[in-house]
Amino acid sequence: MTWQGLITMSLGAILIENFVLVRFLGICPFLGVSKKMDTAMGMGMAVIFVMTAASAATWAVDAYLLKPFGIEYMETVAFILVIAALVQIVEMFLQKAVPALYKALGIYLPLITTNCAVLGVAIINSDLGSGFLESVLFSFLSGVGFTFALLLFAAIRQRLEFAEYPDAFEGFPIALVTAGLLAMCFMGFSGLEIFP
Amino acid sequence: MTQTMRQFKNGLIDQNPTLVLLLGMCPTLATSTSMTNAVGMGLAATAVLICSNFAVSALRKLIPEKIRIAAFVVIIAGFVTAVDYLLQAFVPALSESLGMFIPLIVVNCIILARAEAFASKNGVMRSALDGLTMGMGFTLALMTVSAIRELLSAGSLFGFRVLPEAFPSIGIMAQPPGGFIVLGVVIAVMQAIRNRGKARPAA
Amino acid sequence: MRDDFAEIENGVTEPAPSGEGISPAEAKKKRELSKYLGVTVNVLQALRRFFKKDSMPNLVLVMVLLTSVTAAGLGAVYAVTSVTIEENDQIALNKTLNDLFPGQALLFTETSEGSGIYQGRNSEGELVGFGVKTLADGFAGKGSITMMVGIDVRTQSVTRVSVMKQRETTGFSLAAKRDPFLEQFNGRSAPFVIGEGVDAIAGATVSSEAVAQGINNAFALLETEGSP
Repeated sequence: MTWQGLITMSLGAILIENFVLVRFLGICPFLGVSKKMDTAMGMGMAVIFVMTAASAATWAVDAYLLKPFGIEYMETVAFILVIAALVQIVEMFLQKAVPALYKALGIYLPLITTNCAVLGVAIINSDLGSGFLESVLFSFLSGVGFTFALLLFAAIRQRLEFAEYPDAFEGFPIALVTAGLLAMCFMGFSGLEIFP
Repeated sequence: MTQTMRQFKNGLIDQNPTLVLLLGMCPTLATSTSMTNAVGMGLAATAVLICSNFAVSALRKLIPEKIRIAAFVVIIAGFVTAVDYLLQAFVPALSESLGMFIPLIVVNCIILARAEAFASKNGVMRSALDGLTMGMGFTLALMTVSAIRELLSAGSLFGFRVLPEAFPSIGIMAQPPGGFIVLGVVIAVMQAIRNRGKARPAA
Repeated sequence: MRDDFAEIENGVTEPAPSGEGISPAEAKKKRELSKYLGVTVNVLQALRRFFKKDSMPNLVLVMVLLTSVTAAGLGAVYAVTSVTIEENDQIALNKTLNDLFPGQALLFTETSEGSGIYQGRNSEGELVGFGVKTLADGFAGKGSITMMVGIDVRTQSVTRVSVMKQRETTGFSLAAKRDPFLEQFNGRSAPFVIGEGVDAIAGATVSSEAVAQGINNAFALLETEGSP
C-alpha cells in the first residue's frame, strides 16, 4: 500500500467514517466510560489493543479455518469466540500488570467483548476481503478513531457536570444530545480528500 | 395482574431494555432511519431473544458456572447466524439495508443480559416469554425513534408519504447526529414520565 | 437389580447361589456377565467423577459439544437457505447486467465458469452485447475496485460502466455514483487514458485512473476470451 493510501485510510478511519460518531459502533462503552478523562484513556487503549489483536486473529481464522473448510457460515460464532478469549486474556494480564487500571475499568473491561466496534471491525474486514496487513492497520486506526472520539467526549462531559439542563435529561439523554452535536461537527469531515 | 401480564408490562415499559435499561443503543441508532428497517431489526432481535432464552434456560443445569458467558455467546451466535441466513434467503432487501447490524445482534447487550439475568435462572416457558416481552420492548423503542426520524427527514412512515409536501424535510434527522439527538430526547421524555410518579427529594 | 450392583461394588463378584436347577455352564456364564457389568459400572463412575460439573475436562466437553451442535445446526440452515440465496444473487446479477444496457431486457449467460464475461442476448436470441466484470487496483491495494463494463457487440464501445464494490474512500463511491464521471465513458472505445479526453474525479486521481485502467482491461479481456 502506498503512503498516500495509508494517509487516506487514516483520515477515513479516524475522521470521515469515525466508528462511533458515523458508523454507530461502540456506543455502549462510549456512553458508559466517558465520564472521566483517565478512565476514558485507559478504556481507549484497551479497545485499540483488542481491536487490533482481534482483527489479526479473526483474519487468520477466516483464512486458515473458515475458507479452506468451506464453513463461512460459522464466521459469527468463530469470531465472537476469538474475541471473548482475547478479552479474557487482556483481563488476566491487566489484573496482574496494571491492577489500578483493572479496578478503574471494572465491569467495562469484560464488556469489550460485547463492544460492537470489535466484532464490527472484524466483519468489515471480512466483507471487504482485505489482506492481513490492511485489515490490521484498518482496525488499529479505527480503534484510534474510537479513542479520539471517546476522549473528546469525556472532555465535554467533564464540563457538562457544571452546566444546567432539565432534570429529565440527567444521565444518558444529555450525553446522547451532546454526542449528536459532536457527530454534527464530524459531518464536516465528509468528502475530505487530501491527495489531488 | 397475572405474572404473564406483569412480564409484558415490564418488558414494554417499566424495564424497557433500550429506553430504561439503556441497552442495545448501537443498533437502535443505526437502524432507526426508517420504520421498515426498525421493525425488521426489532423482529429479528426478538426472534433471536426468544430462541436463545429458550435454549439457555433449557441447558441451564448443564452449563458449568465458569464458562457460562462463553456458552451463552455460542448459543446466541448460532441463532443470530441462522436468522441472518434466513433473512438473506427470504427477505434480501431487508438483509441488504440492515447490513452488518444483523450479525451484530450477537453483541446486542440486551440478549446477553437477559440470558444472564433471567434465562439462566428461570424455567423454559417463562424465559421464552421474557424473550418475547423484552424483544417487543426493544422493537417499540426502535419504532418510536424511527417514526420521529422518518417523519422529520422524509415526511413518510414505512415509505408512505404522510406529511404534506409543503413540510420541510429535516435531512439531518436521517444522519448520525439526528439519531443521537432523537434518542436522547426520547429517553429524556421517558425519564420525565417515570420521575413524575416518584416523590421529589426535598430541595 | 440395585442389589446386584451394590454387591458388585462391594467386591462381591460371585452371584449368590440361586439354588437348584442351574447347571455349572450357566453358572459360569452368570459369573462372567456380572464381571463385565462390574467393570462397566466402574468405568461409568470414573467418567462421572472425571467430568464433574466444574472440572476442566467438563468445561472443555461442554464447549466442544455446544460448538459442534451449533455447527451442525448451522450447516443444516446453510444447506437449506443457500439454494434460495444463490437464486437471489442470480437475479441481482441479472439486474446489474441489464442496467448496463438501458432500455433493453436481455438474458445473460456467462461464457465459461468464472470468466466474468457475460453474453447478453435479446428475446430473438441475438447477441447484443457483453457485460464484463473486472477488478482494478486503486489506492487501497490490489483489486480494490470491482466494476462491470457493458460493451456493445456491434460498435465495440462502452454502453455503461458501474462500480460494484470498492474500498477506496467514501467520497469516491459518492462521486463515482454521480454520473458525470462514469458517463464520460459511454459510447467510446478503449483505450482510455486520464488526461487525454478523459477527466478524473477531482481529488481522486488514483482511483479514477484505476477505473479507466479497469475499463481498458475489460476490453482486453473481451479480445482474448469473449469473442463469439
